[in-house]
Amino acid sequence: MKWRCVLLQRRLPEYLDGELTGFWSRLIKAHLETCPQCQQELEALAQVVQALKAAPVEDPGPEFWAQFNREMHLKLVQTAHEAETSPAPAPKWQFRIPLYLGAPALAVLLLWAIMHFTAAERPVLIQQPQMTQAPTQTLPVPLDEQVEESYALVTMDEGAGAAEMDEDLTTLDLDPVLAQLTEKEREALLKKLRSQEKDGSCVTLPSSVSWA
Amino acid sequence: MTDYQLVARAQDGELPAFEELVRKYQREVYGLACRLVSDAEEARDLTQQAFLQAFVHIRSFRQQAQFRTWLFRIAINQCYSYLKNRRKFGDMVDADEVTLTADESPERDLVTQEERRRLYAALARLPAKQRAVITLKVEQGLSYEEISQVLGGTAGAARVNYCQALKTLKKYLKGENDYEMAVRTAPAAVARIPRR
Repeated sequence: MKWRCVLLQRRLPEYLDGELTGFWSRLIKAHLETCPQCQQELEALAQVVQALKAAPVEDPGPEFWAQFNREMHLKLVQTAHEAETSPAPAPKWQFRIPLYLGAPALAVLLLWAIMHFTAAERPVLIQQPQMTQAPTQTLPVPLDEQVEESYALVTMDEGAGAAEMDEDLTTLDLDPVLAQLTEKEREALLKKLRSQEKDGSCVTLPSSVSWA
Repeated sequence: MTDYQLVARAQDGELPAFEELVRKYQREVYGLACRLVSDAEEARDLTQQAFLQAFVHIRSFRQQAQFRTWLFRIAINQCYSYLKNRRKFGDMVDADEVTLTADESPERDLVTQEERRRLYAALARLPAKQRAVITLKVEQGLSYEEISQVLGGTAGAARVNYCQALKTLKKYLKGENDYEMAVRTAPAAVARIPRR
C-alpha cells in the first residue's frame, strides 16, 4: 500500500459522511478514480455503515413503553418525595467559614500574643521636665500630679537660684540677701561659701564672716 | 415546547415537565444502552437509572450544552459502570443470546436475522468506547463536536475513534464471514481453529 493510500484511507469514514472540506474531498475523489484498493476499502466501510443503519435497535413496542413510563413515574415521585423529606444538604459556605476566617483569626491571635508578651520588655519613654520652660498650665490636674509638679517646680527654682548665686557671689552684697533667707537656707549658703573659699574659687567676705 | 423550556420547568420542580423529557428521549437512551450492554433487560434498567440521575441533578444542569448530550453522557456513564461491574464479576453476555427485540416475528427473513446476529456479535467485540462512538455517530446522528461533549476529549479524538471503530468492525465482520465459509466447507478442520 502506498503512503498516499494510507494517508487518505484515514479520512474515508469522513468522506462517506460528507463531512470533509473541499480540499480533502477533491483529493480523495481524484485518488479513488485511480486506486482500486482504496475504492474497495471505501465500499467495505460503506457496507458496514449500511449494515449498522439497517439494523437499528428495534422498538420494543407500546406496551413496553407504557410499562416503562409507569415505573418511571413511580420512581420519579419517590425520588422527589425523598428529596423533599430528607434534610437539605448543608450549604458549602458553612464549611468554608473556618477556611476563610481561620487565617485572619490566627494572624490576629499571633499579633496580640506578640504585643502582649513584648510589652513588658519594651523601653518606656519618660519625658524629662524641661528646665528652661516655665509652667504655664492652667488646666485642672489630679492631686498626685499637682504634688509631683509642685515638687518639680521647687527643685527647678532651687537650681535656678543656686545658679544665680554662683554667678553673683563675687559681687553680691550678702547682707540684704541673708536677711531675706530663712535659718536653714542661710546655713546652706554659708556652708557653700565656705567650701568654695577652701577651694579658692571665692574670696572671704566681711559680712559673711560676721554672720558666721 | 422546547427542551430549554422543559428543562427550566423541571428545574423549578415540575414533574410533568421532566416526564415529557423522558418520553421525548427514552427511545434514544434505550437504544444507546442496548448497543452498549447488549442486554435488553439491563438496558431498560440502565435507561431508568439514567433518567433518575438526570432528575436528581437537573438543577445543576446550566443549559450550556444540549440536554440531549447531557443525558447521553449520564446514560453512557451508567453503562460504563455496569460493564465494569459485569467484567469484574465475570458475567459475560454471549453474543448468540443477544436479543434486542421484545418479541421475534416469525415471518422475519432468516438471512436478515443472521446478518443481524453477526453484526451484534461483531459490535459486542468492540471496546465500549468505540461502540459508543459508532452508536452516537451512526444511529443518533451526533456530530464529532457533540460526541466529544458526550464522551469527553476533543472532536478530533472522536473522529479518530470513529474511524478506528469502523475499521475494526469491518475486520470483525470480514473475519466472521471467513470463519463461516470455512465452517461450511471443512467443519472438522475449522473446529480446531480458535475463533479469536
